[in-house]
Amino acid sequence: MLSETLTSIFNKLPAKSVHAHCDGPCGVYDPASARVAAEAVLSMTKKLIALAPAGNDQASISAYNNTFSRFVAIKEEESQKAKKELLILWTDYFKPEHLATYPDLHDTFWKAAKLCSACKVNIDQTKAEELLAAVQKIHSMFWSSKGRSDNWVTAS
Amino acid sequence: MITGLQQADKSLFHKPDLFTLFTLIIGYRQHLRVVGTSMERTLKEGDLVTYKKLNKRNIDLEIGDIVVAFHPKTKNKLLIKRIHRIYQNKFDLRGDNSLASTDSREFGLIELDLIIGKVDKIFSK
Repeated sequence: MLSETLTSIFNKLPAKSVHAHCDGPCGVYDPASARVAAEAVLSMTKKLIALAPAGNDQASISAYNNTFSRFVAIKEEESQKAKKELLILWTDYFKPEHLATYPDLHDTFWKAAKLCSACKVNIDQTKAEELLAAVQKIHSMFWSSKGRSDNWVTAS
Repeated sequence: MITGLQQADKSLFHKPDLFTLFTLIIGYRQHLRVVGTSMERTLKEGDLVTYKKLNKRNIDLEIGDIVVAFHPKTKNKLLIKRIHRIYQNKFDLRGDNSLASTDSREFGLIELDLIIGKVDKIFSK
């Protein structure tokens, strides 16, 4: 009886967590997440560049401001998402032994992450296209490291 | 599981007792709840562990000890791992479940000052 009570108390005792931790126990990685985000960044950048008020009246200006703000918010969110997905691949999937096959791996990821930041703070189609190209290069590195086909198919 | 450590591990496992409960309640002993699977088969999710805090007079760490350490890259996150190797006062910490563990193989050797304690009791859920 006492033993059962103590066991119950120990099981419910409030305690701070200590992590027997694993960042990626599933081992599932795919550059597709970064690709979709980078495509969205390019798409939103193009839409922002093409966006213009329908007229000079207050309603048109308000509608323009509203749409512009929404496009910027999505562009920034997707840029951040692309960066996060790339950093996961860089730090969790790729291992030191991959450097022998891809000596420019660090440089490629570093530049791609920088492009994410540039796309987030600017409306720059060239940078957005460079980001998508960088993601394509990472896509090729990733799938060739697995010995798999690296067909590049975009959603847009 | 590191070969040869099973006997040492057995001595860490305890049944809940009144004395330990008392020391936990008054704060004499530190306790933590395990989250994650990287220390299976030794520690399971939900297990309660107690540990002895390290201090200048009590730095008695050996290969095979299970320790609590601050994550080297994530502020205030506590890890529980086993000392796999010691290189010049730096510690190679590994999970017993190597297939599902983020440890020194990824974040490198751990400095002594990141290790805050050595596990002395395990209470399985």
